[in-house]
Amino acid sequence: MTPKEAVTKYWEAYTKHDQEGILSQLAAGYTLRSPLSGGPATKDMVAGGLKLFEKSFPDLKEEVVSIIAEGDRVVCEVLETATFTGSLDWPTGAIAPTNKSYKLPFAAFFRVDTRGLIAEQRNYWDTAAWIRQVGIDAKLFEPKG
Amino acid sequence: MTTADFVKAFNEAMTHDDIDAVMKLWSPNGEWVVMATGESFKGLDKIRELATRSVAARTHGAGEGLLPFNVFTDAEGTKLIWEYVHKAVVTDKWPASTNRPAPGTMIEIPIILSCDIQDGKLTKIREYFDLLTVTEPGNHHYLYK
Repeated sequence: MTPKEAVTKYWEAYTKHDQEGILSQLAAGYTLRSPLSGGPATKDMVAGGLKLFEKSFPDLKEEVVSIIAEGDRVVCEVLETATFTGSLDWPTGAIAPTNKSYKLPFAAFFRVDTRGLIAEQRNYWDTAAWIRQVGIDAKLFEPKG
Repeated sequence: MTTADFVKAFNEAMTHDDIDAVMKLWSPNGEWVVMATGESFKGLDKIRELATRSVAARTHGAGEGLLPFNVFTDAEGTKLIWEYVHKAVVTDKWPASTNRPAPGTMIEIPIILSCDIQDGKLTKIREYFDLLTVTEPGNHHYLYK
């Protein structure tokens, strides 16, 4: 499997809500850095996050708008859509669903290892745009030192 | 101009506030979209307006500016994407936003620029970043944690 195929399969698993499929694309030492993670997130932390968000955003879809690969690196632009219909158990407390939908365009970088597993991911999205659309308190998601 | 030259020219022009040099990189019908806010700047006059606004919003000291660390191009050379950290000091001309930093604040914002290129000129930029990542001095952004 090429790096581009590995990343494409990863996003397809997201849209199918196939949590095992998503995790099977990640290397054991996988690291995610994104605006909401607050610091590097491990594969185990992502597994916990998937369960959390599946309950809150059961209709989540990821549409790959563009994808470029060079060697072991892949970068893509994605349009994420979902509706906040289930309680979100955030570390600061449970957030009640607002039943509001959102469209979140974002970009993501990946490094894929020689076995075709994703070793590294960096996401670029605007948390402010997301929380404004889903209608929740911005203070819950402000970055901590 | 190679894609590496293109990235260098863009970063140097923006880092040194050379708006005329930025404009030379653009096609007349170009469009710059700030994905975080949804703002679209189409045509050279509007792009110059955005570049002027961006330059006025911050200053760069030694070692600051647009600091690229990962560059991608497609095989045809029509798509160029790069990751960089924009390190700067905020001025009182920062545009209104939900997370407006105080003048004098040092910011470090991770950004991805997705560029479409035709005949050696920029036809479109989609700019991805997180407004909530704007940080206080000594408070590192999510890529460095």
